[in-house]
Amino acid sequence: MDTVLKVEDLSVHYYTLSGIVRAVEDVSFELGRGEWMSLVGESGSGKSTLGFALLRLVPPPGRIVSGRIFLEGDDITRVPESRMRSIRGSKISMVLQDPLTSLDPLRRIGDQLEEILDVHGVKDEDEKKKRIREAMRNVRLPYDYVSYYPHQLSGGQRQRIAIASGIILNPSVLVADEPTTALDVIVQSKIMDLLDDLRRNLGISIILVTHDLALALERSDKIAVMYAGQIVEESPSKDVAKNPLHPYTRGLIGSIPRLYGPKNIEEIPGFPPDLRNPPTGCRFHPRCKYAMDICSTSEPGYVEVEGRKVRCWLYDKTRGG
Amino acid sequence: MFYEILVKPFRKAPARAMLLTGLTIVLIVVIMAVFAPWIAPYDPVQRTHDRFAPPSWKHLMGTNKLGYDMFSRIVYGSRVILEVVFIAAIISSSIGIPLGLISGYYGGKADKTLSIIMDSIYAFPSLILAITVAAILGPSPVNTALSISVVYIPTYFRMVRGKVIALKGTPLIEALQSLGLKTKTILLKHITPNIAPTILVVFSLSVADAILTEAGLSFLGLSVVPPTPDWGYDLRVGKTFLTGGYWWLVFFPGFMVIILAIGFALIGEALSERFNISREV
Amino acid sequence: MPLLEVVDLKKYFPVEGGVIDRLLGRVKGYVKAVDGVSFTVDRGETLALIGESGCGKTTTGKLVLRLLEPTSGKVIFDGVDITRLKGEDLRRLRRRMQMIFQDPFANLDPRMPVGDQIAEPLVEHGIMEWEEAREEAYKMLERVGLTPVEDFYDRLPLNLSGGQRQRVVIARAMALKPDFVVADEAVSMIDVSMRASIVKLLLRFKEEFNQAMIFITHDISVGRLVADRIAVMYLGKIVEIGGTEQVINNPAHPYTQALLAAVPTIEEKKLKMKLEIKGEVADPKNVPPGCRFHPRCPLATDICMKKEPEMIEVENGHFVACHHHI
Repeated sequence: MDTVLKVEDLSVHYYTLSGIVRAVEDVSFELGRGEWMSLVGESGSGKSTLGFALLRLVPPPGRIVSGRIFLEGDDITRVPESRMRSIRGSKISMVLQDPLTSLDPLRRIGDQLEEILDVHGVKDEDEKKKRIREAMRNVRLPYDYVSYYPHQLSGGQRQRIAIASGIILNPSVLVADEPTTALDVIVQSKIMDLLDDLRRNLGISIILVTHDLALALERSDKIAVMYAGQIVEESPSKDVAKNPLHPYTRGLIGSIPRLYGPKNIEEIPGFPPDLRNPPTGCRFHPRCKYAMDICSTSEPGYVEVEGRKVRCWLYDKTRGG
Repeated sequence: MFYEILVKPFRKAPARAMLLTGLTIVLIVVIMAVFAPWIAPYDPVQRTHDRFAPPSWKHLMGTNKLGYDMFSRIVYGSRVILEVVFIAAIISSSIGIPLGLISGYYGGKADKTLSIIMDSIYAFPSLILAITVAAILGPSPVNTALSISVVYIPTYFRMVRGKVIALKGTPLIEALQSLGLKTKTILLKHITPNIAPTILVVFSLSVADAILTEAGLSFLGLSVVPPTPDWGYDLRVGKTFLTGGYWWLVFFPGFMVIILAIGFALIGEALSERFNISREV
Repeated sequence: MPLLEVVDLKKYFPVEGGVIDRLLGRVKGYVKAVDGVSFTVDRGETLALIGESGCGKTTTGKLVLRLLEPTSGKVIFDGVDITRLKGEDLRRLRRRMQMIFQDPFANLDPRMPVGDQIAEPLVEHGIMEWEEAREEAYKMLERVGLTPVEDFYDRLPLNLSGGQRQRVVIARAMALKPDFVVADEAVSMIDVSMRASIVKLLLRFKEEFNQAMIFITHDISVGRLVADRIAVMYLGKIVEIGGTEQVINNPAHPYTQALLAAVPTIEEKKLKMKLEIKGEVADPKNVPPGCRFHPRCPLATDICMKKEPEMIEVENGHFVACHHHI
């Protein structure tokens, strides 16, 4: 599988009045063509910031401070903003939680899709029409809906339109930031089916940013679990459910309520850290039941274990050296 | 690190600078009023031998037709204007705020009627309304304060009522009701503190406005009895001599009225900006 | 005798029309938020109300607490009809029935120290004086795990995390030792790692005071954690109600089946069939005739468009309103 997106040691900091928030630190991962990866984490874990950073859209006062993002081989952290604008949408695009933030309430759906094509230099009328028709078909909406206004559509339909505008230029990567959090479960499951179709039929790689580990496990090829700005574990989904490596991932698995299994869930004690002032050593150690002496003093490396990656002293064999 | 140093003054300076300027102006005028006998070199209603004297070291702001020292009159005049405006503000807020609270919280027919009354008062040009009331009551500082307060009751009422109605729809008030708190407690201990910043802003801005109204009233001879030192009155007297080139008779009272109004307006603006910021963050 | 009995409860919200309609006092139509709901909750029992947004579950919760006035129907609490209770009588009753809200930030006063917010209702209900109430609030903060209490008592809600705020909300409600609690999406805004502790906290108080509880949630798997019985709501009606395991292991309504199929989980689903549900929830201003689920239902036939299904018992204590129940 060829690599579409490769992120190396990416760090994003917010320079706020009350200090530097280290929202994303030393994040690395690779994404293959047509692969679905989920970034899973709780609020404040940096998962959304990472999602925005992949499009170089971190809102001020945030900034990518170091690291590289290779999109189809090109390092997009180095390209000028003007180039980046044409890359967004055509090579990598984003779908947000609330489609109303990206849709103009006063303009017809068709006009909004057409605008995206205009901005990216698709001038031929027939070509535009063809692309819009294709995009609508890809998101399983009737073509007639192009003459509707956003308020005439239901929440799920609006999210489909947002996805249509994300894929109309055939990008290689689609970043979906909590796309179904505001939707009901039945609609959610249909939107997920749709994303799955997109990657199968069009080969679009998906990055799903979500707080819902069960959803991510059910749908994606691999999971990157984020805690306090770092990816603490990256594993194929099927392995995570059976055998979570990182203690935080184990905690998350234990907090998922079951439909048939035992009727209890476990909490992870304590609270996520303040990212202006993260704990020394492993950032998870104050909440970790496996914490050892070394965990509070030095940071574990991001090591490979049986084709999976984990940032934890239980697996980092360099300790004691 | 540098970012912080660069951003800080831009984020905080305008509101803080406005507040400091406003407070300085108001403080100076308040000091003038409190320590008038010590600051003023002359008795404000005592004729000196110089008539129509231009500003000089002897008479900082010149003298008028009767030989009154204008600087002393300005200093003493601050007493009248502050007194009138503050009495007015206290009367109008102590009527407007409770009415707004109750009317907004309970709603219903009484609220509708009250709102219509308040809106019709509000719709009147403020100066004309104040003139009408002042003309009926006759000239005296207390009556001026009363007529001004009538103008600003609807300002407090409308603002407070609007805020209460907005708050009433929030989960907070629903939660307090579900806890079984008494209405009085909800209004006084929860709603009022939450709208206090707004009240403070409205207070400053309406005082700024009231200063102009007071000056307007006394300019029209509806406030104090001459020769009581009063900025608006002096402005009116000075105006008749303007063609004679006696600019200081108009300039100093007019300047003081405007600067004091600006002082309160700056405080109001600064507070509203500050509280908006804190709400966002 | 059940602690709470709800009989054919309805709440219609008028839809405001244009200016002319309003001037003429005309109403354009009604949103039938709750449209004929009946159930009981016993002391010590938890009923989960499950459904999607707009199904009327929150409105039902507010109606039984009398935060809203029902359009028709009855709410009987501890043998007393409280449907039309007003003023001081209603306020006094609030001590016995409490609500835990979804957004713990929005329902705490941003300007009052959290400790005082817990103490205040105790004073207001005349249970104790301020000094004693403050001590009680102190104990409650300790009990909900906000320790050391000295660190938390004087904090403003802004300086607490979401999970900590929800603990304050729970402490505030439970300090009154209510007999009946409505928890409305009490954990849906809480980070998953802290959900369990909030759920356990609610259950601990429920045990201690032998409370009846209505647990409102969109997530049937969360409902299962706490509930003895589950009621599934759709467009203002209960479509299925029964024991938790009955409903989850043996869903009789196509809609329940669809909810179970859609909820993300890490287990193999045990469903009798895979149903393809069409579209999204209908507009509650325009409730479909007959069975209100029929436009989305893969099993619908003619009768579903014409006749509203009645509740029938499919197994002991397990009821469903469907012409073609599974």
